[in-house]
Amino acid sequence: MSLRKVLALWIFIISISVAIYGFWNIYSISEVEYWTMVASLFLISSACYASGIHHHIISKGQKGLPMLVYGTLLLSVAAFSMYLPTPIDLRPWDIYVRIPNRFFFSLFMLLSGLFGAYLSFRPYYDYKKEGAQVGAYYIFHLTLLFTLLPLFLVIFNIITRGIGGITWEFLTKDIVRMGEEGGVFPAILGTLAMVSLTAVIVLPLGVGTAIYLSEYAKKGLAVRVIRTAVNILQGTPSIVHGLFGYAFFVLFLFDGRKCLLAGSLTLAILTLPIVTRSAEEALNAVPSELRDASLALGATKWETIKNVVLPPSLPGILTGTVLGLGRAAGETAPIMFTAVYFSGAGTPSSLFRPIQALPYHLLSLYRLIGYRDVEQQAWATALLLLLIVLGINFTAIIVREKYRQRF
Amino acid sequence: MISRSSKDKIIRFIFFGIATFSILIISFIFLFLFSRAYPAIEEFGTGLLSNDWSVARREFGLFPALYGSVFVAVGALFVSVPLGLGAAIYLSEIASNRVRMILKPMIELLAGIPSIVYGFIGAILLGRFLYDTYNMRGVNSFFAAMLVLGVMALPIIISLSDDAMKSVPKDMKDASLALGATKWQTIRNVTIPGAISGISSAVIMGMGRAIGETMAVMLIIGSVMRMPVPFFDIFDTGHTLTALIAVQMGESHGIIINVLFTAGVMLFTIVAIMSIISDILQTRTKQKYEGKR
Repeated sequence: MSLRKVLALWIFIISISVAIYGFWNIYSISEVEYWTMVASLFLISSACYASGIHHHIISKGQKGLPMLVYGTLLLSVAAFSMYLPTPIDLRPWDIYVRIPNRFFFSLFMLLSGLFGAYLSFRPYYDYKKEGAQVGAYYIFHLTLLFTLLPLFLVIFNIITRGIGGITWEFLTKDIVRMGEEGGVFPAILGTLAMVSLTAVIVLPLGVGTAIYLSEYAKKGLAVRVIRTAVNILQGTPSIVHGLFGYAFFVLFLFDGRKCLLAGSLTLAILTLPIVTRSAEEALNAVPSELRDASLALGATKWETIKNVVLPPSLPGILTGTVLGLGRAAGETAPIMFTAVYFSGAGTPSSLFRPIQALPYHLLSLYRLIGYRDVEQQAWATALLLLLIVLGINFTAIIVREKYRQRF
Repeated sequence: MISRSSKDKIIRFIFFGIATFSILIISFIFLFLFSRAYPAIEEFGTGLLSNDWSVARREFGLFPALYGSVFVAVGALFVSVPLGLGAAIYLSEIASNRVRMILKPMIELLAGIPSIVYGFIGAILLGRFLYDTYNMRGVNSFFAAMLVLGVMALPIIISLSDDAMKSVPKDMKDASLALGATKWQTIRNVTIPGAISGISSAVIMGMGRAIGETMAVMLIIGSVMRMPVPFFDIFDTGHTLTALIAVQMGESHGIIINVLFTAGVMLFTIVAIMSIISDILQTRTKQKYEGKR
């Protein structure tokens, strides 16, 4: 291993360590001493200098220049941040924040570490174009890391904070004292009942639309309009669905009463585009040779669809539907005006009575935090909701991946 | 007895009827929202677009909420576009099939987390974190909402731009590689320019998602019906159209309900236009590579 590679590797290791240390300090809001930051930046910059000078001596070229510039930049950042006011106060400009120094110190460490690691690939690959490629890949890995980070943070925090509140009583009792005691049993049942009813309503509509779009008519004005309508419906904000459900189902059809059926109908509209799209995808995955063979044997179009196209695409259709239902189970905005009460609705008994549901329960508990001792219950509700929704999604995804390689 | 072929025609007609349901729903949504909004529009007219909201003085200017919706969505894009595009490039061009099989479902799980859970976490943990870090006035801010919405818009941006980059024909990429370009040069000069309209459609859809998001924003934004001062102050509190509807609907009556429906009509119109634009962009990409259908 040449000295060039060793130096590059050295820059990489130091930079990544500094970046991780800086990130950890931001995350845990801990104090960073000025001299800690100076030492870290100095470490990176000295490594950069070593690599840059080494390259100039070896090749007498200009390619080591970025390293020298970066090292100098780090040193000047370290020097000038001594003059950062403590804290940086933006209130004279009407912006009500006072950002303490430690935040900037950690931020400098994080950024200079990440960028230093990025620079280290070029000397490692002897300033060839592979180095630029590895550097770009490094950035893509970083973006992926920061994309998945929220997922882990959300799941980790909800599990660790919510697990303590999951007790037998919590799972099997109704709300007592505005959620301070008791549990969420009617809300669990309510959510399950509403989602099952939604499935019954949306399945024929979604699959029917998909069959028309993929089997009967592939082009033409009607198809284009239907497709646009499905797309608009998919983008429609959930609160607009809620408003529509309130105006149409609750006020117009059910005489101003919230009820289970109104909630399910609203959720069915919300999930219709998801079910349609995944069903269409599943139908399109069936090879057209199968259809042609069936038609050639004298079967009608409907017989072909019924006996040849639908059976193999059924797993795809069902998992798509289940994914849509997972979304429906977690939605609050569409049901809050149409179907749910916080307490007093009890276990669902009729289509025309209101229910309790987990997402709305979480919202109501959140609003009570500060007035009543419900934070633990709220975390437990969030955990339960997350388990149900992610459980539904996870099962659907696994099943789908299993059936995907059929044709 | 009906003949087989006429039975087939009837069935075809039934499926056509089912398929038109989506169109029916869209027109019903617009009709019912607009009919409930009409009394407010009739009474206040352009006053609904003014800057002043005061229930006591019967002034219902929706502009602060409209501004807040757009402001938050644009801020969210600063988080989700760089991260989302990077992740999408990684998924579609760089990751091996096995890695992709693991990562794709994880991003779908990210999309599956209910928005109320995001809002709860955002308000309790992220809000307090920012409050401690920046010594803000309170835990609610545009900044927190932008971060949360940025994360929530990630999955849609990733999956749509992934699709767009996958739709660039492999022949073009292979030709570039055969000429001696590295994979990264190919991505930069062939794949991204080829998929650019699909990528912009993904960004538009992500922005639409951020504008339409309700529960998460409602718990984080602070629900104060005025413009942030100064107007770009991301550390201030404010309101969005979605949060306004969700917060006020339960505790209002009379003409305010109609005003809220007006907000709903605005929201629906904005997002529907964005869906249509992104739809056009997507079909354009498809036509470019698959020939006119």
